[in-house]
Amino acid sequence: MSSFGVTDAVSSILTTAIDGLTDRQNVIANNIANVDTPNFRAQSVDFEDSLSQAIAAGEYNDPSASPDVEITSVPTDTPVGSNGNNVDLRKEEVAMIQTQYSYQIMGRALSDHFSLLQESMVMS
Amino acid sequence: MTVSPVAAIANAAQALPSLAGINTDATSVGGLAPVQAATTTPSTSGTDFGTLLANGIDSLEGLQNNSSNLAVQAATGDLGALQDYTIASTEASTATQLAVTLRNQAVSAFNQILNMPA
Amino acid sequence: MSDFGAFNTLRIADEALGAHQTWLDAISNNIANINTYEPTSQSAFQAQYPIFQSDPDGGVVVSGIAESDPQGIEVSMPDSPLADDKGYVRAPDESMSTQMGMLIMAQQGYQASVSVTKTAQTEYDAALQIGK
Repeated sequence: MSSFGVTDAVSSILTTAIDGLTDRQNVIANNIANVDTPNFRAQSVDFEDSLSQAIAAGEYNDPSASPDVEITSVPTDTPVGSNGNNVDLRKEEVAMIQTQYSYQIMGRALSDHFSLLQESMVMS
Repeated sequence: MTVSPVAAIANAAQALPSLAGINTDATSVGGLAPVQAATTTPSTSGTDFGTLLANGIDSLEGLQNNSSNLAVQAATGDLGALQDYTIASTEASTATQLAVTLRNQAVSAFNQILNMPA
Repeated sequence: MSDFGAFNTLRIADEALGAHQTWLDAISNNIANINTYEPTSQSAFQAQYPIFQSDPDGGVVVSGIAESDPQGIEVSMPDSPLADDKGYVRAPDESMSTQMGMLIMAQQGYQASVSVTKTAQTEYDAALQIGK
């Protein structure tokens, strides 16, 4: 972290969310690639609850502390087909769309956040 | 130390409330005692430019905080609609640019006044 | 994935896609078995019809499966190895024309929800462009 402390709580939260979304995108792509693999079990990524709890507990208010947020990959509860595969292709495709838009809005939020700082610094 | 965009603008603005009238409370300049004869320009409507700018900055902080809060909501998956965030962010950005322009103009005017022959 | 209010339209479309897929699967199974005969000592092949119910949060869920009459239709087929001593077998109580009609409806319903996902994406794109 630079000595000017430009990385604040908001950018830290947004960066963590982007990391989580990147993991999610990879897991979804893997699920889709393995739609026909026998005995393959689909996974899904969770991080929003962990992030919410860390924020509510005030872990982001202390600049020197490192908030405890977990990005975990858990098995899905979709029904298993005859070849042991439980990838729900349609659900994964919709999840991919949603993840891409979430990623875009996080990118926009992070860029807006730093733009705001830069705008304030402009003199004439 | 975190850089707050509002503080960056406010610090400059807080130096300017006396811009609207040349106060007799001015501290000594260059070792000379203040001259009592300076005329004060009475504020006509009761709100001077410095107050207007300060009020604008207060509401700007509200807009920036609202935008940040919605960004955090988007991060935790609690955002009601995408446009809630993008509209709030656009408002904050536009208001910031306005405040920055006003501040820059005020500082520039202040410097011009300072440079006037005594 | 979290219950993201911003993407509710996608969630609703996803539910509809799932329900219509279930319907399509049931119809294709019904059609595949339209000539499946059973002896009169057993139940006939029962065609399946998913029951759609509106989701209070928006969308549709399959709340159950209705089945056709297990008695089926008794058809005279004395040469069939399944025939009873009177020469009858049980045929499924369904008609090809009804199943084909349902197939078209299910396909159109599925496609309509695919359109919804595409429209939703245009809306999200527009929301993200605000202020850019």
